[in-house]
Amino acid sequence: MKNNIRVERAILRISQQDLANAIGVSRQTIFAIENGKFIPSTELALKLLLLILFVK
Amino acid sequence: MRFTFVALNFTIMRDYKKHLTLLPHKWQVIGLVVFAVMFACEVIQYTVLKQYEGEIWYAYAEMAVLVLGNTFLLVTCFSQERTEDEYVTTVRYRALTISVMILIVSCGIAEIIGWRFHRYTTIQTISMMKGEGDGFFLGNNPILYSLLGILGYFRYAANLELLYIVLVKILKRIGCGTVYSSLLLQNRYKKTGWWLLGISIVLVLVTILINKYVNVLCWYGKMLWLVKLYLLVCLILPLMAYTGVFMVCLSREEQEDEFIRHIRVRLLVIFVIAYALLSLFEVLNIAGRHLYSVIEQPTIENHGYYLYSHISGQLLLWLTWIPGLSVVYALVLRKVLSNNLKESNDEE
Repeated sequence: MKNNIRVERAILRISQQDLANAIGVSRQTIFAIENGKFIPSTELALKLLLLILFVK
Repeated sequence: MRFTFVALNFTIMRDYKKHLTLLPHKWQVIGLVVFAVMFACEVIQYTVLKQYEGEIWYAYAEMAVLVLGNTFLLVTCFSQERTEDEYVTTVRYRALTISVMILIVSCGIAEIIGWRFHRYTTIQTISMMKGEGDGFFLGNNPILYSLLGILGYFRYAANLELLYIVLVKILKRIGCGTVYSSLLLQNRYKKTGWWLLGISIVLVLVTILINKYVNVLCWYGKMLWLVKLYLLVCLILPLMAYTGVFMVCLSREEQEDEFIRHIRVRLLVIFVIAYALLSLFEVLNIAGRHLYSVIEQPTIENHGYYLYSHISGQLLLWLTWIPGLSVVYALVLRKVLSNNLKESNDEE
């Protein structure tokens, strides 16, 4: 399952660490999600979506 | 599936989105057939073959029950349900974590009561000195002895599997929350755990060296306090080792999010499967030796003794020893996490 979190993050100029801090996970998790290694739970996916929408 | 052990480069641990594959559901049917054969062997053993106890056919039946029972449990544990959805997967993970926790705790208690150190160091020496034997620490308490028997038996993977099957059935009915609601201890216990484990390893080495070069128990008349201290250390060692192992393996990381928990659970599954397979191999080994002892020494009546002594005396005992496996699990987890951190650092 592909996602465009990396692209969105680049557009918004947010680092992996900032994104991780904002939603309360580690940077490794953001890295794994961006690379399609790990599919987040619905809760985490919603947090990511809301954060990106909020920053936009 | 690529598997490079030396570099600890587990492909199976790199693609975290993939589910670990269980056996197809039809294996449960095969498991039930195996169970039926095992049950038939058990019935034949206690009816038709009862009069031939100690003879070769009776031993074959005993062996068949042991091996088929373990195979049935293994197959039933690791095969899919009819509908294997996310809920069932969550239930499986939760049941597995609880089973492993119970396994470590029960093994630890059994060890504390006197499974290994008590048996190998104190019984012989104390009985030699005082002529009291087993009763020195357990105080001839039948309840403690029964407890020791029951808990010590939990060491075998068959019991872990049985517990897991029962827990899956129960949790499926009553619900189990999400897989990410943690059962684990807080992070601060991890450091304490490593300290306890380190100290216990050092103490084990010291006691081995003492046993090799000095017979402390000869000082029984002169320095009683030293002998008592030595025996106390021997008794406390298992408590320290198991407490350390429990804390190291079952406490959270500094930032335990769902990804870390996912890695942990995956690794736990792999180790439990390895443990179950090693135990099955151990059972086959025991069964083979038991059969051999019956063929070679048909006059000895109590073959159960041979079965027991082979269980406790083999190399496989060390391979399936819970603290050993747990430490390997903890080290591999550390390695996988640090690899992942390194990769993310490189990209950043």
